[in-house]
Amino acid sequence: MPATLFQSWWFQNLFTLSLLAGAALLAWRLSRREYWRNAFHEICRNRLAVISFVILCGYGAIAVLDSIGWRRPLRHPETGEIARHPETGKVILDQGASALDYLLAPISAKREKTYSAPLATTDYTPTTAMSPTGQPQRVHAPLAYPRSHLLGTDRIGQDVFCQACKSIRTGIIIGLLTTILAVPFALIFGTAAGYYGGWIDDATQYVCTVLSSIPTVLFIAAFMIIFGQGLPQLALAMGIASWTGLCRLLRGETIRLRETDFVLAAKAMGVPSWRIILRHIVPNVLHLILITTVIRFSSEVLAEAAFTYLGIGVGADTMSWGAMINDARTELTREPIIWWKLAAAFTFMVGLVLPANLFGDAVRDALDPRLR
Amino acid sequence: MPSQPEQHLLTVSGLRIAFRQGDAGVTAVQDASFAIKPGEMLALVGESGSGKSITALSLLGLLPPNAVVEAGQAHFQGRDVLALPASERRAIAGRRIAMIFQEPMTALNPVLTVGWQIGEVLKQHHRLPRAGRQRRVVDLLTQVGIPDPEQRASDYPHQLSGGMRQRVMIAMALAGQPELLIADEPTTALDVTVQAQIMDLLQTLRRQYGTAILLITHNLALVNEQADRVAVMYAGSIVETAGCDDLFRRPAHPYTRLLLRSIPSVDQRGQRLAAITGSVPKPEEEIPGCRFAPRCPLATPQCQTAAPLFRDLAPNHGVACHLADTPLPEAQADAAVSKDDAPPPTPVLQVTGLQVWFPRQSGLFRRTTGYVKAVDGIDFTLWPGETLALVGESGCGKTTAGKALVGLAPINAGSIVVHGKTDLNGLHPRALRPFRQTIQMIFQDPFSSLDPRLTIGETIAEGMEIHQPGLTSNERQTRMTDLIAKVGLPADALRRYPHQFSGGQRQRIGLARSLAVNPAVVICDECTSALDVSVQAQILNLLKDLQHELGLAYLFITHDLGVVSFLAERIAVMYLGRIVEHGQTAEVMTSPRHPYTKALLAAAPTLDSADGRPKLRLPGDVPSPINPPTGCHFHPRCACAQEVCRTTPPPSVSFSPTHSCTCHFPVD
Ligand SMILES: Nc1ncnc2c1ncn2[C@@H]1O[C@H](COP(=O)(O)OP(=O)(O)OP(=O)(O)O)[C@@H](O)[C@H]1O
Ligand code: SF4
Ligand code: SF4
Ligand SMILES: [Mg+2]
Repeated sequence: MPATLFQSWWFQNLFTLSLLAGAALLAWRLSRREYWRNAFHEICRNRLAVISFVILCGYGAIAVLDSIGWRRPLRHPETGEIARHPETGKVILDQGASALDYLLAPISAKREKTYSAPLATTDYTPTTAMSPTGQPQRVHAPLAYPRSHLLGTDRIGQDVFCQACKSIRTGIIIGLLTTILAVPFALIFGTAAGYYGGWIDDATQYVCTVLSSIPTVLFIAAFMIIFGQGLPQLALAMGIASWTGLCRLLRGETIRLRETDFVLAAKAMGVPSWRIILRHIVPNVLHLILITTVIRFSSEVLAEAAFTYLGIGVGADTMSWGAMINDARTELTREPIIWWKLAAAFTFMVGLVLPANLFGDAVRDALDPRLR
Repeated sequence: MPSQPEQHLLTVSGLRIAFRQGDAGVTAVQDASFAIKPGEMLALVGESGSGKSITALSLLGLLPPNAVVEAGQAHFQGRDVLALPASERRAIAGRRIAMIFQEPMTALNPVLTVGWQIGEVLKQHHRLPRAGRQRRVVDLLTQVGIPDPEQRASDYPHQLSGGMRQRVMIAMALAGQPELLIADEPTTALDVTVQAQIMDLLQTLRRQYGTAILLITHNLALVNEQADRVAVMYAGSIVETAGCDDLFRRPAHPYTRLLLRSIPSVDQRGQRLAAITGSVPKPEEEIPGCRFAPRCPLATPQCQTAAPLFRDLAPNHGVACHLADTPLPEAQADAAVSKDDAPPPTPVLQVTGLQVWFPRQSGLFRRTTGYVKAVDGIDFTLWPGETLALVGESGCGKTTAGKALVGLAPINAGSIVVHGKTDLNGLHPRALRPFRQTIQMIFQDPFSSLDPRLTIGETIAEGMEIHQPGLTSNERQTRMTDLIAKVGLPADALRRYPHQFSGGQRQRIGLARSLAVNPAVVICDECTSALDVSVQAQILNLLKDLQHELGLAYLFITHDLGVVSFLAERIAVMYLGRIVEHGQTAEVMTSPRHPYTKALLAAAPTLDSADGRPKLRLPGDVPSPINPPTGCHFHPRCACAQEVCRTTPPPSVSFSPTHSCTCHFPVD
């Protein structure tokens, strides 16, 4: 299966680790600046924000565990012997799985036949079976693994808790990747438009206006039809659809900064424009970017669920909360009602979005000088 | 109303006000006591943050929500206004006691006509019926000297000039015929000529209606000319109260004495100003004993432990100091500042016919429909080591001229020749870059002129990286350490961020940034006007020292004539984009030839005795440069204007090789 470069495990591992390293580097750089250190202390004083941050870290850890993985030698199902290539004698590897998969394996291996309620001992729907007296009877058949499915199982007997955990990565990747893709565009065009004005500004404004006047749903649908469904495609589409707002914000702030005395002083000193943008403008809008990113993260997570539910999100082979909700749509109409899949998706999503919002608010309060 | 046994209209005693900030409390006003008699003008003076405004606001019950009056009384007509319940206080505040604020722009509602707003005050406070209201509005506007009051009543605030807006504010305050008018920096946002008009108006009102006025200001010269009595406030306490004459002739508190000496004027030329070291303490700073002790040259161990009590030196002259009569160390005369007389052969800067026109665009396609001629043809020459002051009121184009010289404003025409060789106008931006270091600028606002995200070291290094790319980082570091010491900052400043510095220190940093690239000319754009008097003196001394040491030429842009006469060798007076008079400082200050210069000098308050100076008042405001008057720009306000002034621009007339003015009828 890992046919292309992007899907190979070593690429994924490398990408994840470099992302982590990048985040750590940024955090380290910022921690040396007094302004950010003060903001950090401010956030630490807010108990709700600290709790939110711990929860977010938990989610993040799961997403990271689900993003690094490796392949293992294929073993004979019975003898447990390592399979080798008949001619070359090389060890044959399986398709591989993420660290999270290996961790969840004890649970996900416990397959049932079909639906079972959370922590149930028997099937949810009765099946017809022969009674000891030989009469056909409707009974709730006992489960293969009673009391072991925290959030029940789905139609084909898979553990719902495992699915919800596997969906975390999708949600977080969408939230992060969208921003990572949107920020450079917004930063480059926003600051250039604001600083230089003139035709650069006109052109940027024009593009922004056009992009933001296309309905997002239509745009994403068209994008997915052209480029196929998948996690990277969705992130890219959502990134393109959402950088205009940040771009306008940055443009406005740059126009204000352009007239401040310290920028004028640099200009009078003969500092070239690109250098003024890099040294004076960008550091002074960084807090805006961080605030927008953190606040927008949760709405991107929700948007992913909505797009997947509408059938224009990540494809069917990627687990996500949107896909779970989509499944739950039919289950909710059954009698008796099957509620746990929706409940699981909902709980996991709120568990991420609510702390993200609370933390976002705390970050904004700590960084926005007007609220200080 | 009960009969009033005491003769004072308002007696404030032991006032203490604190701000709650989180769990901590900060005492902004420590101990304020003063009294005002009916019809008297009491000036409350002090540097910024000394608690003047907070004191005034507490009398009206307008304190911000996190402020609490912790102690003290304020008896107004026999009742303690601080102890009154809110409903009764409302009957006094706004009617018996009225207030006018510093910024007339923000105190008026921009979407309502001024007539409506005055009418509203009459309705709310005085229950005047509608019919009477209209007439009263016109009366009030007439009283405050607004021409065409009927028409003006239906104008919106933005249609009025700053001076007119302040008059409207005064009209509103007068609506209830108050016994006490509190004026918080009523003229700080206004030009000197307009300031003189407003102060005249306040004096007239006082004479006519017997209104007592509490004038809050930081401008000692203004106090000297206007007030009957003065209360000096320092770091939340009143440190001295005295009659105006007493205070200015026989100041007793060391702070007052030093403050008076630190005001620049002609008399201090060739000397150093007696700057008070350090800066005003912030309210959160814990200072046991006398709050002035850290800056006081007389401070004894006793001062550091025991706060001095307020005591009467003489009738009507109180002071809070242990050593009020001890003489201060003499100000050091500064012989070093005298210069060689022969001017060096080449001027560093020669500006001819400089024009800066901003296009005014309108309509859908942004067609240019006209120009704002912010600078309309000015000439001047700057020699090495000298200071030329560019003087004028707001909007006359001083700052724009300065910005054009450093390439921050588009130049329409004219030439800027540096070192007698290169004309900067017309150079390609890249060819211009090496010349940028020749002319540097220091900005007015110390808080916006430094990038908050860069350390002081990074800020200073920026110019060096561009103009001296050859320096190794070690050499750069050494040079920066030198510079920072030269402008009088501690060596560890390089690693710190701007917000850790006070306004005066930030101006020093701005100066160091400019000096880093070895400029020949430094343009100082009102670079001391945002500073406290005591700090301004430090910066002016520093500028003089650096000029002497490095042979810098300064173009000093300002509206403060005291600073000019202290610092500048020559003066150029600007009016509406043109230089109207140009000459040696002594020539222009003692025998001004242009009617505008004469009026400007007459309007600016000074510390010298106010008598004997001609009371010359300019009518009206500075016209807008969008539609300047024809002929001589000054003719609508000029007392000597004749027919020819309306039609023909005046020629330049010389009175000496250095002194010239552009006027058809120069005054003698
Ligand atoms: N809302 C507030 N919260 C906390 N501190 C405040 C607040 N308003 C004012 N202060 C502090 O109270 C002190 C006194 O302020 P005040 O406005 O009375 O000074 P001032 O003498 O009028 O100064 P200026 O000349 O600048 O007008 C200042 O140090 C200021 O920082
Ligand atoms: S009490 Fe002492 S420190 Fe305070 S002003 Fe007087 S002499 Fe100076
Ligand atoms: S030219 Fe005429 S109007 Fe202008 S200043 Fe001289 S006298 Fe006054
Ligand atoms: Mg004030």
